[in-house]
Amino acid sequence: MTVAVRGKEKCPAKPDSFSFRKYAVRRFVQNRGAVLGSVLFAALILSAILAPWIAPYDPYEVSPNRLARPSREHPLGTDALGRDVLSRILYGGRISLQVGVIAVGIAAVTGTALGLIAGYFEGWVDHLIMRLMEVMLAFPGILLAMAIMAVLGSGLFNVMIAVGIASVPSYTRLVRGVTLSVKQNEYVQAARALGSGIGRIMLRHLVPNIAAPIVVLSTLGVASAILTCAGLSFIGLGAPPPTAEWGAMLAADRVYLRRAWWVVAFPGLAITISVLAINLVGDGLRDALDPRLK
Amino acid sequence: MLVGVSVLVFSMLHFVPGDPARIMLGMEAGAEEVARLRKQLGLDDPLVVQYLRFAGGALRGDLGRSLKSNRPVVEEIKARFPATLKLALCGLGIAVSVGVLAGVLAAKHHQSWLDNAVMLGAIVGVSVPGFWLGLMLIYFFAVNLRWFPVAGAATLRHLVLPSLTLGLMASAVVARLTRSSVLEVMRQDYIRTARSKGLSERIVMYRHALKNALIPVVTVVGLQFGGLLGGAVIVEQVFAWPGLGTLAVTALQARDFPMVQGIVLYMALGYVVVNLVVDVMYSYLDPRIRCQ
Repeated sequence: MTVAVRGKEKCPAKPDSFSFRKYAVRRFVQNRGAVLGSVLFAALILSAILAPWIAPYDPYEVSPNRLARPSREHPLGTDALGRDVLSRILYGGRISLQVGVIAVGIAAVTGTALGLIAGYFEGWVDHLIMRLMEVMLAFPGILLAMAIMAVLGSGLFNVMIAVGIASVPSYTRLVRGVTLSVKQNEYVQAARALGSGIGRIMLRHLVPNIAAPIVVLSTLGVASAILTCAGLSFIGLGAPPPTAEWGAMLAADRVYLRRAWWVVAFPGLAITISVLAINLVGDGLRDALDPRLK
Repeated sequence: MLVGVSVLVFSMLHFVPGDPARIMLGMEAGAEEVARLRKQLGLDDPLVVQYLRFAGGALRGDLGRSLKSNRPVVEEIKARFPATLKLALCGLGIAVSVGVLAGVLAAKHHQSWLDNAVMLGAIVGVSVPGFWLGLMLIYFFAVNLRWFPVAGAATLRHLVLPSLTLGLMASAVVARLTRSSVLEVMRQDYIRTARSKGLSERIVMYRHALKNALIPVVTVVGLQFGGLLGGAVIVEQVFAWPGLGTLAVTALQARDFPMVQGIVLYMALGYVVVNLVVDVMYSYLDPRIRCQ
């Protein structure tokens, strides 16, 4: 009984008390790269949301002013159909972010569920799941995504699914490892003894313990999903023309590289900066949240 | 492992919507003709029988025929594989030399501007899309400076830009790992012993530290080789390099599934073999593992 009473008492905050959250935030803020990445990332998200208002032109509007050099009217020039490159890049950010987040969502949810099941039940279930993951890991990532695209057919939505499925194994492996060790803890045994169901144990006791590494892996995953998606679009498997997608823009206009460097340079720069920003944030999060992953 | 890979590749092919016989004959073919071809190709047999036939064929080096050219898949792959291998190996060479050198320099001058520059370069390196890096290299070194040809694979000079593209990207990962591994090793007791013996810093670094620090790097280089094979798929497109990647993309676009299946199987095989070699090398390089 005393325990319950004590729990309700308001505990005065000690000035020297160790708060993991504060510690993590401080480490993140002190990391110059992480702060720079966050600023760039925030700018990327904002520009993607605000694209319809801040883009100077309609990204699909064709004009006779083809392959115009960067100028005051068109800060990043125009492409082979006279479309404004800046506007297309701003709209392209929406697609890339969407693809990155959805692909990672698919991978993280599926991978975490499989990892929890494998780690919690062990035995033949674990064996089966992990063998399948090993087989998937035997393919270089983009090749596995391409093979899945061969089955699903091309298109943006299928890119998300393909990239998502191809990155499931890394989540499963991570989650399984942590689950195997965390489930040995006494509080998990206590929960089981108190009659908690499997679902409750997994969601209340196991998931909070694996949240930090998953957040880190997911952040870095968004970056690599954007890269893979741009790559698939570049070889003609992703967004169909005339979609304003960065990889597709590069693929469509690369033949004009000799005459108009800007149609190739800027979309690629957009990909690089976005991926760089997310990678910086991911690295910062890793150092702040989970030094073990280093 | 390889059985799993072959099952996965095989079952993928069977999820593909559309009838291979129909793809081969075209839309105008009559239903009877399609049925005859299906029987000829054994498409009406149970899946297990079909898989065993596929796996048996694969073991004997027969991966079926291309739906497009009707030539044996293995022949086409064999014709293209050397080009991709050459590219991947040159890329790997560049990745290892640039990556190890940069990593060692960064560790040696820990927390200096050089260290910061290498780390920044490394994170930019993993963020750059390969096809864009390739296009930019073409723009500067082929279009503007005219040092190298724009595309193709006729001479040795054609090899420079594509392998540089692949190598620079992979070197980022190698540099990061080398740096952290060297830093780790430098904290060990035997380094302190070596220093206290009065050995010069150079000998400590290259004879004592680097030897030990490179062990984990070998693993990552092995993993990178798989990444290079995958990366080659896209970089080959940029430079019109006549390798497996170009073949894979053309096959995908033409929905030539036996070809896709063959290439994917071949590349996964290469990846597994390289990882096996790395494991063996590992025990050779690290006597501690051999003892266990």
